[in-house]
Amino acid sequence: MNRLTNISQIRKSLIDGKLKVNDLVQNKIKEINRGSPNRLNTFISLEDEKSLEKQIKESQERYNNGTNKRLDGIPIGVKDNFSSKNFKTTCASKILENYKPSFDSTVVKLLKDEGAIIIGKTNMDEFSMGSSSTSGNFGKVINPWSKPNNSNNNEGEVLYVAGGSSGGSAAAVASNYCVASIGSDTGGSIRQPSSYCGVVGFKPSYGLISRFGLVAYASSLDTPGVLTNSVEDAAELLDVLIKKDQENDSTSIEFINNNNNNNNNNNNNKNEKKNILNEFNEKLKNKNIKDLVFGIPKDYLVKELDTDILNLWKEVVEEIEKRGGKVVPVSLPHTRYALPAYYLLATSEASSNLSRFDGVRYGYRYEEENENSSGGNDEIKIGMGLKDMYTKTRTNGFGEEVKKRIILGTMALSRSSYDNFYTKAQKIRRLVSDDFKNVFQGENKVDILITPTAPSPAFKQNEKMDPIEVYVNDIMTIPSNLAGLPACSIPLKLSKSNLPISVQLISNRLTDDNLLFAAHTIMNFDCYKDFTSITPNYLK
Amino acid sequence: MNYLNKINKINNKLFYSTTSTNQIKNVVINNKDYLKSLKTGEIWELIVGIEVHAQTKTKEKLFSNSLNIGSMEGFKANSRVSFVDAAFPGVLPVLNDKCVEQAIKTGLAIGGTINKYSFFDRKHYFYQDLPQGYQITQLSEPIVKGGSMELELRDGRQHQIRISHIQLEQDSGKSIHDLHPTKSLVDLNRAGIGLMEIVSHADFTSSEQVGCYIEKLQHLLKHIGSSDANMQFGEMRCDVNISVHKPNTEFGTRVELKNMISAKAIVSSIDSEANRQISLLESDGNNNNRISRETRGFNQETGETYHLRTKEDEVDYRFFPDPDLPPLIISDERIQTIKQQLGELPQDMKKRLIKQYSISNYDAELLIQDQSIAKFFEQSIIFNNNNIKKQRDIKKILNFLLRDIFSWLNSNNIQEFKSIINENQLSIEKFTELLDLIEQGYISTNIGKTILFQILNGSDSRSPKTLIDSQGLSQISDDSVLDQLVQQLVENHPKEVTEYHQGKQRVYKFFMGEIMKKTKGRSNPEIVNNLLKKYLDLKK
Repeated sequence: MNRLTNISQIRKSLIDGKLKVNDLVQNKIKEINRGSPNRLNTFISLEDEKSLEKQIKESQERYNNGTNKRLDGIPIGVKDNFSSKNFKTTCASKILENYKPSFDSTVVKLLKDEGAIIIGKTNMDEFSMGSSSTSGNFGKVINPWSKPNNSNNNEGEVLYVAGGSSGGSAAAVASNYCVASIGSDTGGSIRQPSSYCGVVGFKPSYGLISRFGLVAYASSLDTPGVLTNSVEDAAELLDVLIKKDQENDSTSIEFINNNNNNNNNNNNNKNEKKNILNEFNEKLKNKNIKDLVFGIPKDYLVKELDTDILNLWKEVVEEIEKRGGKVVPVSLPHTRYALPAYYLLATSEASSNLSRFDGVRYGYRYEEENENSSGGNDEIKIGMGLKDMYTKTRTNGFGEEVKKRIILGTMALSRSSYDNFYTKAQKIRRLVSDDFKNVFQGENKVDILITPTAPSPAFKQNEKMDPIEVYVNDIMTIPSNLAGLPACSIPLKLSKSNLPISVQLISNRLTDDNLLFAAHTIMNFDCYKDFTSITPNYLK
Repeated sequence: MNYLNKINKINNKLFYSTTSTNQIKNVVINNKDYLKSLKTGEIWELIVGIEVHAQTKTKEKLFSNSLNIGSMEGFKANSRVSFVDAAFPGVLPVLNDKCVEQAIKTGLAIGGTINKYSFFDRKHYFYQDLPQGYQITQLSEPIVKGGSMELELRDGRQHQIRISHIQLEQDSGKSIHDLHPTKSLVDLNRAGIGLMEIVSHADFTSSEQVGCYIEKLQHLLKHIGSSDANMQFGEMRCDVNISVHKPNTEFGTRVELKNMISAKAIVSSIDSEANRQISLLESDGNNNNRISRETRGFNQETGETYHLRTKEDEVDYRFFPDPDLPPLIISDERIQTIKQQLGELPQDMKKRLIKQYSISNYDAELLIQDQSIAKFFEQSIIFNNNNIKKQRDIKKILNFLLRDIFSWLNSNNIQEFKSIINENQLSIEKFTELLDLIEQGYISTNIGKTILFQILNGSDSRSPKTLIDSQGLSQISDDSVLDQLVQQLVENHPKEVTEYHQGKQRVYKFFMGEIMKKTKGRSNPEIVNNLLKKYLDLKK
């Protein structure tokens, strides 16, 4: 079956009347529940039927009378850490298991404004802390590339993790449960699951998409982004979502020209606002691979790197050179310090950001069992006391990984450790940023860095893993978060074990349009362009 | 502030400390303040530092757009709370620029340096009325650095207090423990309101200086409009650090006093605490170990301080830069603009008033207590004075303003002079018209006072002239009428005339009184005086 996965194709069919919004959306719901309800556990909650029917009806009416909006009727999955009005937003945590926000996050609002239908909130690692989407309060996400029972070898069913923390968003797009999805990326949480599930995962420059309503993990690193089947779709969604949110978010910025590379004399286009979709389309029209300089950071050649991925990395370089693109080796010497620095900074911020979950105003609160309440209502019951309530609420409300990171962050910020941990980590962050600056502004004027997205393809569920080994999973993705750079994972082929493998592209800050162009160019090499039309085994 | 109190306070040169019940006495040696123990006769040096929290006078809170309730009482609990104030998941702080402006104004007014690059830190602790689990404040780079305040002590000495810095920070909510038998209630109306914390150096050596400083700071903030600084309403709160030591020895252990609700309470609490510390030290052979680092409260009824908590119990606040807020960058231009808008500061105004109008220090001090009074005073000298072709009599204006109007404000319990300046009550037009009518002899000063009170009472908003005429209160300036009256009076009272010539001055008053009675006080006393003398002399 030729899958209709591209936003522009779907929109065209809807406009032409060949496809009805109802069929499009209801088909997705049917697929999600095929075999068993929420089979891959990609969603924590789905939009309720009545609301869905109402949205479908309104959307179809707009198509009928020609007033459809850009994303009208397009089913989109949103990670469950983006606040959505009157729609449960749990962060996959018990502490928010029944929390329904009274407001939309900026991302959700912008999508709704363009007519998109949020069909559900996708599963994730609790509070985005993890790389497997197995740690949440609502169960594990299953990678659609898992091995089904009826395979020829006698292994039986082998389940793989979807990656994380935006594992639900990645698996949902890979399974065609929604046309595209929204994720958040703090240390690789969009790109790594995208790589494991075989979809495009794009994390824009920090600040381009407002974080308002995104439940914070580590504020200075959290970046909303998109997971799609194609780079065109990513561009289309980014165009909707990139908007300065002056009212709600003081870290949100305008998409303007990054003039670091230009001469100071040339002030003409300085601070000039850019439109990402126009810039991307312009480049598709007027530029080719020969206009780009690719850099290969040798520091990403780590001992943990899987052979298939190493080979893909080399192959991509050869393919680029074959087509006349320029590839240069570069050095990012502080890369090896990025991982420890990240885990100190992210957990420090998390320990602070998560202090608001105290059971006082919303969410879960530990209640004492009423065993001894033999007396009537007149009896004055003394509460458990504030400190006890905090302790019990947070002990029961947070999962193990979250508690581990809160404790680590609390330690890093404590008076006796601050200088040795937090301050040093900040210094490393600056050094990592400067590494990138040197490469992008250095003599080679590198436009795009190419690295693996993750050291390995998806790993098996229940595989016993050393926590440090799990943290190492983020080693390729973390540096661009520390530097606030746009980065994107593109799926190119299957490994020998039939799991998707990808490369990661990184570009200079505020050159997201160029990054889209490079990603599109590579994904459309003859040898890679058919990858996204393959249906994952487990779904067949 | 009560207007009569103001006068009393200035007469008393602010506060006398209440040393009568204490065992210590303030003494001045070589122009410096010391405490003398009445028990041992020993001399002690007092060291005090003050942290003042002043609420910024702004429409909205520091990081949200909920309304500042300011000093308004009677608001429903939790009726001025946004999602940001209540720290809902995913919300972000956006700095209120008006609060920044008020802090800059205050910084400039105390002669501090405006920090062009400051940032916000998080201070963590768990409490039910602190929704975020941290307070946003400024630790390492506050918005204002340095500054000073010159105090005038009651014996005429000057004492300078250096100010360390001013930091912008959020207020917390309010916990209410006495409305429910087993539960604490939380009101978040105050949570997130902007505070300027004005931190002094430990430059105070007497409680009088502290009282003087607080009064002066309060007045300055009101004058420049950066805070209403009303202590009763919690718009201004003070924490006091206090220690004692023998001259030329090391400083003593510092004790913090918290939660004082008036300047008077602060002065008393310092005396009481100094007394406690000195008694303790003297009873233990000056062993400094007897004073422990602690936080104490002040019981106004007993006049004694009491233990609240020891410093060791305090949590590690884990300060770190708030990752949700960019650095606060303030341009030179902005500082200059605010400087220009700031206008004349109270001390400069006082000096100028004394010089320009040759008024006493005392009158000038009264005038600058409230900028609107000083402004009214200056206006009334020159307003529309073309009509009378000269400046109005400054003494007369001051008499009306500082005696009659002040006493009226006081007996009617009105806090703000400004509030009586309106169409229905006093206006500069009415006031100067009244002054001119007296000057022209149309009414006597006494009748003028009567009319002034009628105007202030606001029952009749017509002009002074209309008021005078409608009540027939103008002076009889027709000399022939008066001439006849006086002549008749003298003719009709031969006995009193004889007594007068025998030297009984009191009889003269009788004649004056009779004329005033007959003319209902409308006759010009000067003219009556001349006529009386003339006719009495004729009878000699």
